[in-house]
Formats: sequence, C-alpha cells, structure tokens
Amino acid sequence: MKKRIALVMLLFLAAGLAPAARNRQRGWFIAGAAAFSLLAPGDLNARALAQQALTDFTYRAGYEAQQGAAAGAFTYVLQEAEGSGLKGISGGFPFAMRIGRVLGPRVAVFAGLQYLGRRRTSTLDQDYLVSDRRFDQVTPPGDYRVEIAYPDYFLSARAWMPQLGVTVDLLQKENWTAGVSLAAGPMFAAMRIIEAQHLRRTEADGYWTESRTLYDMKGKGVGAAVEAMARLALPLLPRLSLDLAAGYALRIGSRFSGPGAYEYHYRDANAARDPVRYYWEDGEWQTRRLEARRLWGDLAYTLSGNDPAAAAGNGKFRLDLSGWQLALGLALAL
Amino acid sequence: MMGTRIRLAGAPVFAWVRTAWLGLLLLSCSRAPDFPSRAEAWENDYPSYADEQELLNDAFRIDIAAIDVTLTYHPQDAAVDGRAQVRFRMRPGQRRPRIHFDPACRGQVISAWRLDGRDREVPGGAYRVVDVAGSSQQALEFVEDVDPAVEHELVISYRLVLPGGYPRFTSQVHDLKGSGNEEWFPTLNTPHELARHRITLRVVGDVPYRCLGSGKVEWAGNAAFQEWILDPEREVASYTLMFVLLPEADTLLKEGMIAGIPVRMAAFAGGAAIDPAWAELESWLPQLVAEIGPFPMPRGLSVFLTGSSGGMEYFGGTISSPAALSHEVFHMYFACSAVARTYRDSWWDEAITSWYDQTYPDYLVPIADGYRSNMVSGRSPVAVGFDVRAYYQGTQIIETMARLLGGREAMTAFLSDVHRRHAFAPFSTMDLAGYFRQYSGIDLGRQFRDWFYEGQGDAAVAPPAPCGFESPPDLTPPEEVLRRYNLERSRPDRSGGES
Repeated sequence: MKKRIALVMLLFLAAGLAPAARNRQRGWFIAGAAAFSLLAPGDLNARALAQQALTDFTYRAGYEAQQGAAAGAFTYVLQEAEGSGLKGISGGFPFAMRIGRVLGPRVAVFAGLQYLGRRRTSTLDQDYLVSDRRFDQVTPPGDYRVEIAYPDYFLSARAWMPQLGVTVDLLQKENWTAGVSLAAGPMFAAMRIIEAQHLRRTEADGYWTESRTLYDMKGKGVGAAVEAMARLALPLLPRLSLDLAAGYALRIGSRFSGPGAYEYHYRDANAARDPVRYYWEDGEWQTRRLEARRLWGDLAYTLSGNDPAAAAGNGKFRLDLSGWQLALGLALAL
Repeated sequence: MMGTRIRLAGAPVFAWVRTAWLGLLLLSCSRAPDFPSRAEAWENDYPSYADEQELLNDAFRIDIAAIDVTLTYHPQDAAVDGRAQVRFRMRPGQRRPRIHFDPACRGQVISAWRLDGRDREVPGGAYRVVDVAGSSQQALEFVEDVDPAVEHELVISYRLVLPGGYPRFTSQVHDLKGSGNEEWFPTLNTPHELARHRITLRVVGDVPYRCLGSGKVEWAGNAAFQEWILDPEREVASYTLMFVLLPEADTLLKEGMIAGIPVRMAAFAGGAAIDPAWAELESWLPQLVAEIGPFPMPRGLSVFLTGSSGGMEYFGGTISSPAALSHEVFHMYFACSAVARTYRDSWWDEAITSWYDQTYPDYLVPIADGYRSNMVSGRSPVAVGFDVRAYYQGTQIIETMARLLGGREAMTAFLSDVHRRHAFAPFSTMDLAGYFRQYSGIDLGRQFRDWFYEGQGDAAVAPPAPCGFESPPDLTPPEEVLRRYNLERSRPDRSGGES
C-alpha cells in the first residue's frame, strides 16, 4: 500500500515538471486527496453502545444497588481488563480521485470517486466476584462469579461515492488561490457488525452455566453524499499544486439490507445443548427502541440489526457517515 | 460403564449380547429389578435402554427402601440438627454404596456415621466425596464394600447452618438446575429412586410455627418442642418432598375441600392474596379431576403462596406464586405422580404441563418439520437438571402429538390413560413414545429420536426467552412481616422487576 502511494506521488511530481498550472488556463486536471473525517454513524454504533450500557446496567449497576441495599451481606468486586469497553466508529479517512476541466479563470468542474472505509474493533471483558450472604435470597447463600465478554466486537462501514462537482476560486494570488468546492453524488455503502458474547456464571458449589452468542450481520444500501469545502491551493510546481480543504460532508444512506448469521451455544455443568444456528439472506436493517426494567431502575436503549428480531423494530435505520473533515491533496494540470 | 455414550440406533452385536446377558442377570436376581417389564419391552426396539440401566446402577449404586429423618430446627441459632436413617440394598452388580448429601460434600457437617450398627469415624473412616462422571452432583462414597444380598442401614447425625435473618425452614428444590432435598437429608437425587419417607420436623422455642408439607402431616406434640410427622404414605422421589415451617403469626391459612380434595393454602400475612388463588383452584381442580383423573394424593394439596417469581411442584404440595399456581398444580399428575425415569427425561412433565395449561400460547403450534435436538441426549442419564427447551419446543412436540391424535380432547384422554397406567412407575422419553404407540397405533419412535436424541441443531429458531416459571419461588416475606424481626428487605425495593 505504501509503495502504491509513493508511486502515485512520484507520478504527480514527474508530471509537475511540465509547464503551466491548471488554474491559469483552460485544460484538464487530475486531483487526489486524502482526508480525515469526524464520523458518528449513530444507528450503526447504537448496537455496540447498547451492549456496553446493558452490561453495565445489568451487572455493575445491579450489583451496586444490591450492595447498597444489603448492608455488607452482598458485596462484589469487578475485575475489568485494561482497555475494556465497546466503542463505536468515530472517525474515518476518505480518499478521492478526480478528473476535471477548467472552464474559466475561476471555475472548474470535475468528476470523481470518493471512498470511505472504517473498521473498529473493541472488546469488553468484565469479571464479577460476588459474595451473597443475604437472608432473603432466592438461591442458597454463597459466592459466585460472573464473567461477561464481548471479544473483538467488530463494526465496519464502507462507502463508494461517485461525484460531480464544481470549484470556484474566490481569491487568486500569485502564490495561492482560495475558493470553494461543492460535490454531490450517490453513495453506495456496505456495513457489517460481528458481535460475539460470552457469558459464564459459576456458583459456589461449582455448578456453572455458559452461553456463547454470535451475530454476523451485513448490509448494503444506497444514499446520497454532498460535500461542501473551503479550499486553499498552493502551487508547488508549474503544473502541480497542493490543495488544502476543510468543510462538511453529508453522507446518508438508508434502506439497508443483507445477509446475516446467528449462533447460540449453551452449556452447563451437566449438559451441552446443541447449537442453534440460523441464517438469513435479505434482512432489512432496523432499529428497535427497547427498555430494560430491573429492580434498580430502567434503561432505555436502541438495538440495530437485520436479524429476524429486528424485523419487529419500527425505527428507520440510517447509515450516517456525515461529518466535518479536513483534506489534503494534490492537483495536476494535464 | 460410567461416561458411556448412549447409542440409540445401530448398536453393534456385542451390545445385543451384553443386553441379553444383563437381562438374564436381572431376571436371576433375588430382588426384583428396577424396571423389568419396561426393560423387556424396550429391548425389542431400543437396546440402549439396558445400557442406560447399567449406567444408572453404576452411578447411583443403591436402591433406597426408606428414609426416616428427624430435623430439629433451632430458629434462634439458624441451625438444624438432623438425624437420618436410610435403609437400602445394593443395585445389581454393586457393592460400594454411594449417597447424595450436599452439605457433607461441601464441608464437615456429619458428626456420627453408623453403618449396620457399627460406628465409623467421620469422614475418613466412613466416606469420601466423589465426582460422578456426567453430573455436576458429587456423592458420598462409602469407604467399604457391603454385602449386596442383604438390606443395610445407615444412620447419620449432622448439623446444618441456615442463612440468618427471617426464621423459616423449607424445602427448596430447583428441578431445572437439579438440586433437591439432598440439601437437608441423605438420599439419592434422581427421579426414578422412589422411597418411603418419614420426616419428623421439630421446632425448638416458644414461637408457634405452622407446618405444611407433602402427604399426611400430623401434629405430634411434644413437651420439649413443636413436632410434626410428615408422611407421604407411599414411595416417592425425594426431590418431590415438600415441607414449610414458618412462624404461625406471620402467615394466614385457609383450609377446605375443593372437588372432594382437601386443600390447605397458606401465605404470608400481607403477602399474596389467598382468596383469588383459592377461587382459581375451585375451577382448576375439578377440571383436572374430570379430564385427567382422581387427584393423585389422597391427603390432598398443600399450597404456600408466595408474592412473586415462579413456583415449584412437590408431591401433594407446591410453593408457588399466584401466576404459576395452575401450572404447579397440574404437576401433581405429571412430575409428582407420573415421574420421569431420569432428570433428563423430565422434559416431558414440563412439556405436558405447559401444553395442558397453555402456559406459553405462542408455542401451541406443531414442531417444525425436520426439528432435531439433543434435548435429552445433551445430558447424561445420571446428570441433574433438564433442558429448558422442554417449555417451548417440548410444548410444540406435545401439540404435534395432540394433532396426530385428533386434537386437544384426544390428547387429554391419552394423558389420562398414561397417568392411570404409569403413575409412580418412572418412565423415560422413549417409554412415552411406546405408550403413544400402544394407545394410538402411531409409531413416533423415529421422530422421538430426532426430536430428543439426534440433535445437531440447525433449527431456524431463536433461543427461547427465559420465563417466570423457571425461576424458583421467592420466599421473602413482605416488609410488614420483616419489620417484626427488625429486618429490612435486602434488595432494591421496587416491585415488578427481576433480582
């Protein structure tokens, strides 16, 4: 990958030795840019954040409440691995290639293709050691251990965006040019969630139960992308300029659907239940607003997915890859 | 051989030879084998039945004739002094006894151990704690062999410490997990081990107590303590035995007859409402008697109503929330009188009960074509507990059987027939298929193998959601009762949630 980038840079540099800059005369140009974009695909991230919140609510908050109510008869210790915590996608690096034509001293139009891809892997790993000596408990007294893990929680989003756009130079100086650019086009996006959960409870007498759950859900959909940027071009060579740009990109897709898989394995100290597996081909992505009610409070949360249970949801799922971004690129006059 | 995998089909020739040999061995024994008639019938179709019997004998070793226990409850000390006398014989091919008594597996609670009239030093001279392959339940294995030809008597004394706080002493069986009354006295925790039980319950102190329990419960009176003698008056599985000891002042009791059945219903004062639950039984019990048969327990039904959570059925009794009451009472027929052969077979009592009382309406549809599971084969015949799919896919399977028979009425008639013929004679999953074939001429042997033994799940279904009836009953008194003891509920105080 690094070699390819170096080759592209050399190509630009070599071509730049030729005379004439594109913003000074009619002609064709090509440009490439890389950017950093602040992303917060809320519906996609919602599932990971919900599982984190549910885990904390069910166990940490639950044990905390019971500890508070039991005056020393119920205590717990949480051992959490360093770096534990499920995280959503929060930034991305769009790449774009464009070919354009200068229409006049200040105006150019272009067509291009932008790609934005982002993956995020995070892990939740909590281990609760509980001592329960309450008189009014339902189960016999004792200590028990609860281990909860979401190993390698995987989120990914990719989007291909063909673009048509225009740049307008507002200020033209000898050594720099400032202006704006506007680009728009469809967005073809894909995404994926791989969620594995491991839950194990070991009682004081050694009896244990364990479940492993896996969801793998994919989705493809289309949307629209619009990008408005302020740009500053700095000529490096007669045909080559360095472009700096900052602005906002609106990238929203909806009506996502795709295949998925579910597996559930349950074992306990006495039995290994055969695994449950099912697959679906064209599950529509939805969001579901849910509420967990426990003795110690309520938790409202949103689950997104395309599994059969998600079909009961009525929330529209949107893949929102919008965000402020900063771009750096090179433009070469042909 | 312990840990042997049960084969259901395609058994090699040596298995037939072994089966035949075992059959001869069983017939030659002076004492009747456990299940002679069914074993013979089974061998025609399912040779593994004999293998299973061998495994059960290997694991459980003894056949208990009678358990006579005295449990002296000291509310002030939150402790129980126990004295248990167990009379037993060895199962075929066994010489080294084993018995379940969980407190002794966890620590030193036994103070005296007398076997056949001779005292042994505890623990080393009497028993050792052993793991049993295929089960999470440990056992006490005697350190000496005994004569397999004669009856033996074990007498032990012990002290158990209870959780402090509210002064109650009750059985707390959890059949889904597979924990039974071996928490309170030595026994075998397996459904097919039916034995005579006689439990003497004593309470030390001046505070009057109330006692509910399985079968005949007689006030024995005593100058030194309050005393009741609990006697089911027939052989029952230990894990179906119920007793409840609670301060009389904290509870309300209603007694009467419903459809000719003596009913005693108690609840905490200020807790669950008795009258609506009683009214429910006034329609439910006559329906059961009319559709399934006479109430199986001549001494009637004892109910302790709890405020929330689920319930647990016992022989002639239940500790149950109002929501679970009808479910638990139906279990008097299937679970407490018609009894599963092994824990893993007890899916059928939950499935039949859930089907009959329509616990989960969503599951009253036939099982999906091609459904396969290891609902039974997923655990060893000697393991404890049963598969939670009993409630859901189990209900669907019973519904499938009902439709094959012609509907709900026909299936109910079949269940009545099964109960009439096979109550108190523990039977297995494949026995149930056999009874169905005998009754209807429809052979579901292949389907039963797929449904319960041949799983490697490709089922296109989500795992069932946990439900209330799977949770044990919550015996926590209401706050107004707790305040009398200067206690506070040690849980976050909000109703309607889960703990």
